[in-house]
Amino acid sequence: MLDYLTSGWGLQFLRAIGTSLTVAALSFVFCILIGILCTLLSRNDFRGSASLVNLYTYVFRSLPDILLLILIFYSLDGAIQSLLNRLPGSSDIRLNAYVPAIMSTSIVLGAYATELFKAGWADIPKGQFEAGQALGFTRVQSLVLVILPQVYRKIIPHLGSLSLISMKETALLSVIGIPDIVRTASIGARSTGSPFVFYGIAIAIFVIFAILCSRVFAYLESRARAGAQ
Amino acid sequence: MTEGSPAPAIEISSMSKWFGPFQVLDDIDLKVMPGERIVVCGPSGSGKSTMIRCINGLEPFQKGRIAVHGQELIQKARTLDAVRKNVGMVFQQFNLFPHLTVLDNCTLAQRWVHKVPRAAAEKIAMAQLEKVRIPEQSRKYPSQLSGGQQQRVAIARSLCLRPKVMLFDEPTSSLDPEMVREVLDTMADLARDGMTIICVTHEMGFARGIADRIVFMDQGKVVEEAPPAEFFDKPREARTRKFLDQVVR
Amino acid sequence: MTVLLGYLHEILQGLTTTLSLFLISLVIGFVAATIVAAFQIRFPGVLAGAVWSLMFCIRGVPLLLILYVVYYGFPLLPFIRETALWTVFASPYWCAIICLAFVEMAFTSEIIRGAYYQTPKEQVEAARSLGLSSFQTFRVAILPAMLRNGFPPYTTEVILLCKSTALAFTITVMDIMGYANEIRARTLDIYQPLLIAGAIYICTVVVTRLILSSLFNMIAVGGAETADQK
Ligand SMILES: Nc1ncnc2c1ncn2[C@@H]1O[C@H](COP(=O)(O)OP(=O)(O)OP(=O)(O)O)[C@@H](O)[C@H]1O
Ligand SMILES: [Mg+2]
Repeated sequence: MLDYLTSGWGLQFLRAIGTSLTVAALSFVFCILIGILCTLLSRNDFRGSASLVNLYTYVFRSLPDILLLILIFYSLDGAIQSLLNRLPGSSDIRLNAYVPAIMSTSIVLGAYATELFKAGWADIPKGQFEAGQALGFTRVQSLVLVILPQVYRKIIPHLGSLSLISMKETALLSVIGIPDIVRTASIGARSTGSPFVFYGIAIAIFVIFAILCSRVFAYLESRARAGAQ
Repeated sequence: MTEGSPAPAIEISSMSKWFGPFQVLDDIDLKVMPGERIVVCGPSGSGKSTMIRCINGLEPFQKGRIAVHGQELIQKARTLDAVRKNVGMVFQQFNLFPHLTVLDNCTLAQRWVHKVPRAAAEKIAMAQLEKVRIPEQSRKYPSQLSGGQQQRVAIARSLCLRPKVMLFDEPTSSLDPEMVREVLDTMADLARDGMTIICVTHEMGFARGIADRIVFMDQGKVVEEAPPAEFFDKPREARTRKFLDQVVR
Repeated sequence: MTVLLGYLHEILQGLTTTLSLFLISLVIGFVAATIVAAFQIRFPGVLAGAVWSLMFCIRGVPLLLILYVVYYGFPLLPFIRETALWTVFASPYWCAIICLAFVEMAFTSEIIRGAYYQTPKEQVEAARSLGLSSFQTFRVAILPAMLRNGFPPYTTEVILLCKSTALAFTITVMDIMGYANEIRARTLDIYQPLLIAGAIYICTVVVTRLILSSLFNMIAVGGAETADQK
């Protein structure tokens, strides 16, 4: 196993980890933003905006992630290729595969995040909003200083599983040819003829991430618990 | 309330409010002078909470006008902010921010709304916490305090913004009996310092002790308005008498 | 329109595969999860801790990776290639079912465990104090509460499983996703086949939700009734 890692595969895996972590982190951030935005929309007075949000969460919690990824990948790919043909100078086309990957993961996870934030939000007593108003906070201040910190405290454990899911979702990138952890492992498995070493490394990476993730969020939860209950 | 008296702190004139088809407030008129202490009482559902919530713009109203220190209340973000800077509000459920320490509860609005630097905000907060007699709890979280202590923090939190008027909506109603006293004492201190106060409460002893005037509401109307002695001893209206019979025993 | 109907017809060929992947792995996964969870609850200790850790690790690994390991890796193992197991692992369909059930077991066992430990202690004690045996206590006090607590997260899990079956096409299983992707590759028409497949998946989920929620209502109401009678 060490032979493989020193003979270039180690570097490949490091790169793959970087790729997966980057995509996972970006998708996580975007899905949180989508979650907050959709929650605000669904609590809006505008008629229809709440049902629109419901439709969004329903559809994307029902649609297979891989289907959405392939749909976005090939349709964006077509659009980008034709755009690139028109633009002078060559860009790295491989880079563009990340856009649909992050998009589709964010959209899918955003649906889960929306459900999460909506549930957390609903638990916050009306008095908290009113106290914020009475103290003279603007809407944005009230949101950032009063409401979101409380929602965050309520949903930390779920944010933990959401971050784990966003990491696992990066496995799908291998289907559209991005050299993520899974793709690197399968290429290695095929080209060296020792699949269990390579798949084993990939599994180990995900397991280590899962352990780290659960540790970090357990710590965050205990810190939030320390005072506010 | 003679001609030529100074400008009123709060002036409500022919204000009405509806929740859908249901009229909650019916042609309310009320004038409160600076430093005056008003107690509002009345049966449940008579619109007491709704009226004082209108005064700092937590509820919109449909007819009439409200002015706070000359500033008219219009449902526009900017004027609302201006009015709220002058008006502090204390709720029945305290509504402290559970994720912040007592001290941070008291400094948050100062720092973000009034842009007071942190150190100065903390100094003001500690001074107010001393006034409500719980400076030693400043590092604790609300959940670690008793109800009475929480309500006193809520009062301190409002006072930190140096309001000219304080509104109280049944501040002692969700407290255990043994904690009512400490909150009422804090409010009495405030009254002695000359704060303009409007307080909805069922504590008739408190009303008799500190109020300059008692406003009795029923079914969305101000039924009677009189100094405590007159109000308790020779109420004019039959409805007031009936209410007093039920409350004071 | 005729093109669309043609696609629909072709993609629907994968429906039985998708549904059977879904249902068979659901049942196997549930049975395995019940055994795993019961073991952890009944024999707490080091071994249960080890089982829990194993389940935790499985939950952390993407299904796609597990599919690759089983489909591309296992055939290289002599004890699989040279025994009767080969008939199973040579078929991508059964590989997919094994993987789906495996992952489903890891998630469902945790849901069952969670539901068990959420059951209020007082109810169990009350049942015990009435002189019920431990099996009767389980039936009367614990099981109804577990069903009520566990059903909502289990619904979510079942729907995730339904979605996950779409990954089977990556190991050449011709399910709905497989047919849709084949049409896409063959005709270069991206939207129509994939959107049709998406619609079919959404319909499947809608029906699944309906079935599960009516099942839940039946159980929840029934549970409340038995609780009242006691
Ligand atoms: N948001 C609302 N929508 C509809 N009706 C409301 C709303 N808030 C209050 N009401 C109604 O308005 C009336 C007055 O309510 P309000 O809370 O002002 O009464 P109150 O005098 O404070 O009573 P209490 O002593 O119980 O607090 C009640 O009949 C109540 O049902
Ligand atoms: Mg009230």
